[in-house]
Amino acid sequence: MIQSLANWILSFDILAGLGNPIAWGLSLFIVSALIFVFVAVNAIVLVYIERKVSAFMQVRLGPMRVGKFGSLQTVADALKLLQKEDIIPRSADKILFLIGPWVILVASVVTFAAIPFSDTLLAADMSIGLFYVVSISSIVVLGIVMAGWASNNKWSLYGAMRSAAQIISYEIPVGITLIAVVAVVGSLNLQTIVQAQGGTGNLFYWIPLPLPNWFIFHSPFLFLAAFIYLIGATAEINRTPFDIPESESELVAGFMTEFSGLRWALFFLSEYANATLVAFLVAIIFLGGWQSPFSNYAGAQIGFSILTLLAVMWTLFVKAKTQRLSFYPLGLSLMITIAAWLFPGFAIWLASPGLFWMLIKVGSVIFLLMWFRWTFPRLRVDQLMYVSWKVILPISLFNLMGVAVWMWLTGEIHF
Amino acid sequence: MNLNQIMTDLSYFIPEMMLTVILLMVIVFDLFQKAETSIRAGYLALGGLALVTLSLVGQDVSTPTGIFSNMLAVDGFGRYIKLVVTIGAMLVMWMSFNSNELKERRVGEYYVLILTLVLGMFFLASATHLLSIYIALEMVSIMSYLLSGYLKEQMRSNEASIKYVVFGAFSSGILLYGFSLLYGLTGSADIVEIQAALAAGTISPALMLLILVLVLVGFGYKIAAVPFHFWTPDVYEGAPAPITAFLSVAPKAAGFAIIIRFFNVAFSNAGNPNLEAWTALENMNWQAVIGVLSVLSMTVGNVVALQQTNIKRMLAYSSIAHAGYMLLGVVVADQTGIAAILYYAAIYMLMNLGAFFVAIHIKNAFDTEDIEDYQSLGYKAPVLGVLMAIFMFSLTGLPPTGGFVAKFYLFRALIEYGDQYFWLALIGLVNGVISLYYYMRVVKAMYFGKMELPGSVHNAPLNVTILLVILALPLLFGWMIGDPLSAYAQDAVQFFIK
Amino acid sequence: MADFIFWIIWALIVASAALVAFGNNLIHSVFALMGTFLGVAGIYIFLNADFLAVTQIVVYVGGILVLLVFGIMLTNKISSAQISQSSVQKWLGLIVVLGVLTIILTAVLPHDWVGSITPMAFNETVAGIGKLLFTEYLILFEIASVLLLGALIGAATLARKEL
Repeated sequence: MIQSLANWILSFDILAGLGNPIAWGLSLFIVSALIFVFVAVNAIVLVYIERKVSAFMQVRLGPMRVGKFGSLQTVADALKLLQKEDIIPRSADKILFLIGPWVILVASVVTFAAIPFSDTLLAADMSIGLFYVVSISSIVVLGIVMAGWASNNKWSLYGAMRSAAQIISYEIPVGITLIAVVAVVGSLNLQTIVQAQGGTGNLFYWIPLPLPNWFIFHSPFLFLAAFIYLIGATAEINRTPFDIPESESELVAGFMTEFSGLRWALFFLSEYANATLVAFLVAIIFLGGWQSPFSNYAGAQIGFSILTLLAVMWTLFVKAKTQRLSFYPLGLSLMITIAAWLFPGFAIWLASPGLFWMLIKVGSVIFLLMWFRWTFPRLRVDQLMYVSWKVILPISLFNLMGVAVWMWLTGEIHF
Repeated sequence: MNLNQIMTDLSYFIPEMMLTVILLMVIVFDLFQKAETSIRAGYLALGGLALVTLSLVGQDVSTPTGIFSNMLAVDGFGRYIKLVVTIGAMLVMWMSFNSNELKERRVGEYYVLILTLVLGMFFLASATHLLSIYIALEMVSIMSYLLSGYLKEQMRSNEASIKYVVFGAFSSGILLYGFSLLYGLTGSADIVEIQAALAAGTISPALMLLILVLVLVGFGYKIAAVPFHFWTPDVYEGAPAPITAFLSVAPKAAGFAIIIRFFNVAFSNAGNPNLEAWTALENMNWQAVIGVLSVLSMTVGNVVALQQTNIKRMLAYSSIAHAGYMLLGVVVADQTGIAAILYYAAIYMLMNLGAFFVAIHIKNAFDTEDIEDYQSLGYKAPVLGVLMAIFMFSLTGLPPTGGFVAKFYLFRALIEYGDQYFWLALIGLVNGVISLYYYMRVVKAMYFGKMELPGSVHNAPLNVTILLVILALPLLFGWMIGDPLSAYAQDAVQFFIK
Repeated sequence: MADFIFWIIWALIVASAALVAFGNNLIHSVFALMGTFLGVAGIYIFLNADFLAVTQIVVYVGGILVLLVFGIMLTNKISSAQISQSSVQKWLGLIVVLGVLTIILTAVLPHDWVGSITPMAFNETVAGIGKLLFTEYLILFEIASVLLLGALIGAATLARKEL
């Protein structure tokens, strides 16, 4: 993408004199800036959504005052944070205190360089994309430890240590589940991984249920792997129910306790960047990335019709259970279905891959993460380690072997 | 390289595979043992090693072969070293069963680590590729660090381990630097191909010397040659005594194996040490450099050993001196020289393990490691005293023991090589005389001077006595029955060459 | 542009390595090491070794550096202990370092290294590495696994509380 942007810049007569190196550098800068802007805006939007979702889960309204439905609330909050005094505790390790948040932020932003937003929209087409993302996100640990140590506060240090232990422990099962997928694709390139999931096929190879070729439907093992990955990744980004590094009831705010103003905002930014990254990875690796779930426009029409039927059943179910009518899912799916049947162009658009599908999938995963956060209680430290080393790790190892056996059974690999 | 090739290579790899399987079996077996019964894992390991020894003996090495894309070699030379190592490990395990230091603690892992160490030495004895050399070396080193720190509640043991790690990491870093230069210069990591590239002679002598020094640091550290010996006394003193005995023998043999293989193949003119008319590389006079190392090791080891009062430290320094003697054979580096080293390694294993084992048992029984306290031991524990005296005579190199024969072969090889290295033989002889003093001090303490005759006689447990007799008998009578070991060592000088 | 980035990486490596060596604060040195490791990863990228670069980050930054930090932070009585490091015998050290440097440079520099290098276009390395690991270097791969198993067991034994 960088080189094509550079070519595009050079295609203007006025700018042609720049020469390739400078144009390349310029587009490098533009792409990096775009990624950063995406991360920042994304965080603001997600904070708002998270508050609304939590309110929905707890049957309250959430922010309502600033802007329509409180939509400008987080913008206002961000502005407030920017103006706040940046307090550095006297006994803090000044240099590390200043650097720490930035290390975390940089580490979580640069991972987006390898993420394919659509078939053309990605900053760097790396042959080792997945490995790159995993490796760079491991730098976050150092930033956290840096911040925790520099604060010179026991809560911060506890938080940092917990966080580091947690991230390192969960990196292993997460890595192994990813290896299972890589074994199926035979490539670490994220774009290749997405491309390998195009079209539709049987569920679990043998069950005659026409589903998209996403890896979550590849085999029972990868189906399990998707959930293991989701659990492990949730722990890796320190989100509830794995948020012991910043658990308010025990550690005030963990490694962020001493931070204020902009630096604190940076933690928030990187936290949401990480959550988004995990959602992107789940979408790319297990849910087909920017691939559409439908193979052609007829598929889209039929698919949405089935979805509408499901929505009808859901509505009836809710009605029977709670005596309330839930119109939104039914209304939305009905509208789309009618549109798809009326306008074939719309159905074709639905069936074609693109950014839209990617964002839908990412949004769903993020919603799932929020759902986790507002419904599950927090784990204890020892339980956390127990889950990682004694439950998830054996399962993921078993999974890896299972995937290999499965591929052999289905004839994907030969000896 | 395809699957069939791998399967063929695996058939040359049976001893190592057996060892690995036994290693895993011991790990799993140990999981089901309580601390008190964990010694059973040791019995299992010992039995397993016996099987490995059998399969080594039965291995066909008549045609030296390179396996796994010439990463490892299967040849007579490698098998000889492997046998020395395995037998040494078995003896050490036997002694570990009787060691008081290892009582009342979990020992399953101890035997696992010994087995892993043995496996590492197997690879080291047969490595023919820079990468396999390095990994094998690290395997041996890391297991040695762990084993020397096994008495974790003792400060001395911790100190031994940490010193070993620091020195080891440093020297393997230097070794890697040398390897990287070699790889960069020759474009290959296979020692035969390196030889081919070096023999072209396009590389300046200064660069060759630099490589030689860097590589020697790494290897010299493993065999504890002066000036890379600083870790030796502290590690030998702090480590559990059976491990000290093992470290002074087996990794040394494996270290010599890799030195001989590496230098005689990579740094030679023809790259074939099997030839009678073998010569070293012309623009790199490594024979002289190793000669200097050998003189330093012998002299420093012996002179410092003179001042030691602790028997373990004394044996530690004397092991440096013995490394020096064996380096004499590397200087010669022709068939007779290598055979002499092989012979010396086996004999040294027997006598040094013997001396250590007597020391361990005396520590168990009388709770002392001081040579002073060996006073009148010859009367307090007559059997142990006699055996200790035999080992001491043999270590000194006095006839009619195996130690004498081994030294004789070494010096003969030096003298036969030509006038060039005659002076080395002389220095070796002088050093033998120096070593006489401190070895005889032990004997003197045991039998001469003011004796206090004890009321009762201490007898070692039967299995210890049997073990010590097994060690002592070949030293005394091996050369009388036509010296089969020497014939075996001479047969073993046969390297894999592409 | 690429040259420019190369020199930035070069400066990063040297500066952070100097900070590691001469810094008076142990924890700062550890974190400065991160710069060195990342810089080396950058150099690997310039050598077309993308897989190696990322492995470098995973192993060194994500693994070893975190281990170092853990080691420092889990040290007993860390709050009262004086965790500082200072370089002793600076002049002697300088002389030795310069001596070694001179020896190495006089030996290494005269050789024509550049002549034996042929520039190559970037190729994907992952598949090649995988193939080599399971054919030519198969045995080393397996030996390394036994080595790691042994090291793991040993480390656990030494770290365990009971004898």
